[in-house]
Amino acid sequence: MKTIITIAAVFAALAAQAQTLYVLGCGDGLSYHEEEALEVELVDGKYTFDVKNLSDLYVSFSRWNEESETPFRTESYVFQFDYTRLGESVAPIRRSYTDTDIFTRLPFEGDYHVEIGSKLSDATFYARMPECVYSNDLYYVGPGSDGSGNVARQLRRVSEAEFQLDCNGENRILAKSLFCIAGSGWQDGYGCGVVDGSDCVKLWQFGKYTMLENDFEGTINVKLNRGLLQPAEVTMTSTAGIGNIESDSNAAVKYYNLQGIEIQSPCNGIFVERSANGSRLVKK
Amino acid sequence: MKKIFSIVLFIALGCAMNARTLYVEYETTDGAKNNVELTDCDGKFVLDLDNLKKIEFSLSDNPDMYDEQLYFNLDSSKIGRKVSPRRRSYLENLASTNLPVYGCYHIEIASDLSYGIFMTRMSDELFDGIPCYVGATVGEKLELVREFSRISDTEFELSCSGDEAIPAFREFRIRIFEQGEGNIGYYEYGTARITSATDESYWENGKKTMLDEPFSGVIRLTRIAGSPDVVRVVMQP
Repeated sequence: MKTIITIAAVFAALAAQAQTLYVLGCGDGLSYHEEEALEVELVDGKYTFDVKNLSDLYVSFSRWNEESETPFRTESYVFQFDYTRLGESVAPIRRSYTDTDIFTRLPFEGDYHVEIGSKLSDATFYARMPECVYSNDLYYVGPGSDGSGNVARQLRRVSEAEFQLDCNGENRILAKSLFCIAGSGWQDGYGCGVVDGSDCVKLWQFGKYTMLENDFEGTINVKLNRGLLQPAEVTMTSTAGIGNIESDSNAAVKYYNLQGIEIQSPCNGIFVERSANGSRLVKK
Repeated sequence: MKKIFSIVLFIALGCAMNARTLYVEYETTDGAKNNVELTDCDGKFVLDLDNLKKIEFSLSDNPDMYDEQLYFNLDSSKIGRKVSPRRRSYLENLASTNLPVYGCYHIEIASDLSYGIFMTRMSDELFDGIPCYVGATVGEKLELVREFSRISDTEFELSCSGDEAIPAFREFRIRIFEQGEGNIGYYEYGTARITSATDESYWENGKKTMLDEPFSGVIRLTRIAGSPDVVRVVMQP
């Protein structure tokens, strides 16, 4: 009986040690006001909470004490990450009240599911992103045609989800220069790594840059997919390549599967459509 | 005149003092070790190297000094992305940045050392490998690995029903081991988001997935030639 009481006392002591996590920030149900702090308790070894429209987060174990003569938090924890680290375990950086950067900046405003390990050892952020297509303008962001500076050139909107960039003459893209296709106000854009600068159809991923091995003159077509930050289908058609294509605009359209094999009757999948106007990915 | 000269000299000296040097030691595929000193220009250090196998960056020509090494944790999913470096001392094991593939690299590192970007040509060819589901199932609390069935050269399928349904709010990923010569790891695909079972989406290398409700049905995966970092996934309830 004595043993049971001792074990119970140990459990009670452990329970008493479990600290409450105070969460402030910008999002639905969150506030920067201390008295409105979200209080999260430790359950199954982690602190878990969901916040809609979250953009900034402040987490701390200590609470502002109005009765204290020095009403400052002694510490808070900041998680530094970008879109590419969503869904990954991120280690925190401990901050004191004298530090200026005490907020966790989320890569974009949205609905988040946050799991923070006990003692703030690590955290994982998952985002729930809308299933819509980005509706604003897109820009080429990279060096100018002389290789210097960092210019932004707007893409021409062709349809609701399709954009086109003219890269001829003064707008050509030079080899060995990093660029991306980004929206207004984005810190990152779409890219695909290294390509040689000839005709190609690729899926460009958010958060990546593109670098050409050879100068490129021609047209870049960007087709965004439903679901924000989903890879975009990008077709690069070089001017030199266009000269080799039959000039008859009524020439037969050919379809190839993703392995490059010609398909006579494409259905139930994604195919490369080749015509006098160039190549693009199509869904049948 | 004297005053103007003094101001110009002061600014020039200030700029010279601000110019930072990055000390680079690298090893090529033939085993040769080389050194190069970089000076920042236009806010970044830029370096082009051929046949690169391993590389070390240091802020000091005396790498024994504490915290003077920069280490980048790279894998194939981070090629072309901004990667934040970690400070390492020479005595730590992870001072050397290992590269996911050996070959020609174009490297840009911000002058303030906030990030580096490693650009290299990744193979467009799909290596042979069967996708595996890695994560928990309703019947098993622990993480387990389940292999997909091959439907065609590039299409695979996994049944997730009964005890093998995927639980909600538990992260999982689809892994494909890279096989053959020069085996250096695996690709792991996910959406990096909380998602309901959708009819179709692209999943990317280096990410995980979390569902907001349990999934019971079939996962169909299609690999895409030319974009090995992305697979097309259909979750059919």
